[in-house]
Amino acid sequence: MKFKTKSTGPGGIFIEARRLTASDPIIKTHLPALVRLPMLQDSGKPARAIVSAGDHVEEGQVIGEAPDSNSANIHASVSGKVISVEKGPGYKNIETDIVTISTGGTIKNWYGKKYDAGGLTPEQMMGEIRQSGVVSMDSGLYCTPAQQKLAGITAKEKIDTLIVNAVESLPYLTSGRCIIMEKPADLIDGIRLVMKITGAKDAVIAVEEEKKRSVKPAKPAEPVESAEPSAAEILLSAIRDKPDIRVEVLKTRSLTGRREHYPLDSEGKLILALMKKELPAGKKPREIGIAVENVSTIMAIYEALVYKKPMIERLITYTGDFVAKRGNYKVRIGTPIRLIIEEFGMPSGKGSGPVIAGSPMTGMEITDMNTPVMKNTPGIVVLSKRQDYKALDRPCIRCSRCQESCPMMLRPARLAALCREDDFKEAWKSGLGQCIECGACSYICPSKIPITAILRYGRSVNGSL
Amino acid sequence: MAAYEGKSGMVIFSPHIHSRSSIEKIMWNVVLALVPAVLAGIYFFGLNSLVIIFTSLVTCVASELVMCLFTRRPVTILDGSAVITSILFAFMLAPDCPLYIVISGAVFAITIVKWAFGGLGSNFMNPAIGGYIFVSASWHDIVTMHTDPLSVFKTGGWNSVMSTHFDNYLNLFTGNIPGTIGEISKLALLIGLVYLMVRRIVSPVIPFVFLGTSALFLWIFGGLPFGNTCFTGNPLFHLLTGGLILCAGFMAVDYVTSPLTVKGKIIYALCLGVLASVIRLWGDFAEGAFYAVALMNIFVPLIDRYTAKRIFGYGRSK
Repeated sequence: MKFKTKSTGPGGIFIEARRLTASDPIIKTHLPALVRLPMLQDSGKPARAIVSAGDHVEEGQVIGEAPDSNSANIHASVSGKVISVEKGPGYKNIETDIVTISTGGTIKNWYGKKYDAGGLTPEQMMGEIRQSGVVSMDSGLYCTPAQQKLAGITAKEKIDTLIVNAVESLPYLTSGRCIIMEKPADLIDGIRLVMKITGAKDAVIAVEEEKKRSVKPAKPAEPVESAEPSAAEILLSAIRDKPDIRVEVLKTRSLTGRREHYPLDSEGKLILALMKKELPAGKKPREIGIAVENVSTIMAIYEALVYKKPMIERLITYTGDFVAKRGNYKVRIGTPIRLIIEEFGMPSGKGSGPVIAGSPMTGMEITDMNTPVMKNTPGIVVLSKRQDYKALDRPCIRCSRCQESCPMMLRPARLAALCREDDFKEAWKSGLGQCIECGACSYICPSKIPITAILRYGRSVNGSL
Repeated sequence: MAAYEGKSGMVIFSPHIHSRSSIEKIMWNVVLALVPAVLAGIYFFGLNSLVIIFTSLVTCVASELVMCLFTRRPVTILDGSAVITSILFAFMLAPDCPLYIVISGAVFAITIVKWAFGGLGSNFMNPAIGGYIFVSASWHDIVTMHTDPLSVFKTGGWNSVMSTHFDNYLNLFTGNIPGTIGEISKLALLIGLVYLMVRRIVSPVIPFVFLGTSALFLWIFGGLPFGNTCFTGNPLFHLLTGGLILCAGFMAVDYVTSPLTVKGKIIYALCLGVLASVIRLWGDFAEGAFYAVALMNIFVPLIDRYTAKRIFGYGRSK
């Protein structure tokens, strides 16, 4: 089936998508022997740990209470005994309490009873979401509590359109596609629920153009991608011609004939492509009547409302060029990454490089393998040595590739130079605030200047001024 | 999270994967693209031109090494940028140019034009052209007074071109003419230029707009200095003589000294075309393209300033 594609405007880089796990099914993992649950897993305020060592907790029990309505509860992701409550790095390595639970006890079946979520008022739904600790899971590492995003919407602005971000332009990550492949009907129901909460009259599901993938399998033995239905086709058949939800396909090919995959799915770009509106600087989408939510978030909201299941699990992609048992796994929040690596194998010898939480473009390198999977961990990627890289930081030769690749049409090299000279005022004037930290400029830079790292530093300094 | 530290103790943050492009790759590809023209120069002028190119090469790389050590920076002589400068500088000289001129020009290009302003990426002017301007101002008669089709045309008009048989376009194109080492063979230069465009190292905007503007301008006004009316110029002859193609394909497109945006590149190349043609038609020098590039290099920061892209979300300028 051929779709009319929509362009997301200039910028973007050609990058091998490496969707090695795109057609793999969702696999539920074994219960981990222990889980480590940081009390801060999103941009809200840290939850207050209400259990102490020795307590017995049930799966789904609240163990961290959100201090206010804009933060997220933390739930025990397994039944068992609390071993310790100690300090450790949580969201973005900010120090917080970490509750460690040793697994043992009943396993709950959350999917036994289906509740009628359709009868709830938006306020009741918001209450449920707040209880369930659902966070907004963008494919980057940033995440906000879902109710914080939604609360702003319902309180003040009128939302016309809900944009469902089903684009996965980050290399390696495929969990969103899995949800579309396996649970399209649930996803559509979830979209209807979120539409009801936000008051949106219609919804647009954005997927990316799927052409014959130019990516060759890493090993010749691997099967070449077969003609499976595209995400857009699956979604269309799930919607069944209801006029209030439609599917739009984003263009991945630029004028020069080169495939430019990344980044397609920033909020600004989605709104530009689908609504033909440019999100003004410093404004949130909801201020112009648009809500943007990610497929994973919508599924989490759906499960919270329909099955009253708190956010104790999430879908992650464990992958890497040389990882044998790569796939899309449903894991408990708090599972130490060490356990995942032990269960699914780490490439040995020359294949083994840094372990990245999230996509290599936006994720963080994991050095302490006891770091748990958090609500904002979309995947774990084991890079091979070849991809490992040392920042050389050579002089800029003004090749202009960074500004051609910048989706926000900034001049990344100039901004980086300004940040290095601590001229944050001028940098901010030149658009530092619009940077989405996608990493395209650093990726493309022939001088290997760590532009993204410098800009992130500049943004954080300016934020604290 | 957002700690950015300097070279020592670099904290590596995202992205963790990088494209395979590098300064070295870009620079050595440009050198490769210059090889056909080097070979053409040696073929038509003999070993003498090789000696000049080699002298320039050694001098430039040695100057680069000295400046790296002097400024206590990492030694980057292998990144190829000094090699490009040396070849381009030699290309602008006649095959009988004395070696002391080659050496002094090469030293000036690297130490003053390039390193005095901060080395790679910081020079305000193409170093090779800077060196050329230095030697052409210092030894004007030796450097610029050689016989080539263009100077014949400038002094004697079309009739003297006919009488010296410089109107053979095939010879002009392949390079079987007197001139400077690098500019004679348009064929070799175009082979290199096409290679760079295919490898996406050089954007076609500047060469095409530069050459197009020059051709148009020279066609319209080319007859005026000889008392003819407008639209009597011979753009093909002009494109195939002098250093226009060398300039448009390899000097004007230098990353460091050309504008960043497409809009800026078009403005820059338009000005280059007009300037080069004006100097060619009415200037003192036979060849105006090098001076045009040097002049426009100086305007690049200004062009960049006024052709910056509109930042996403900042609204149309009011």
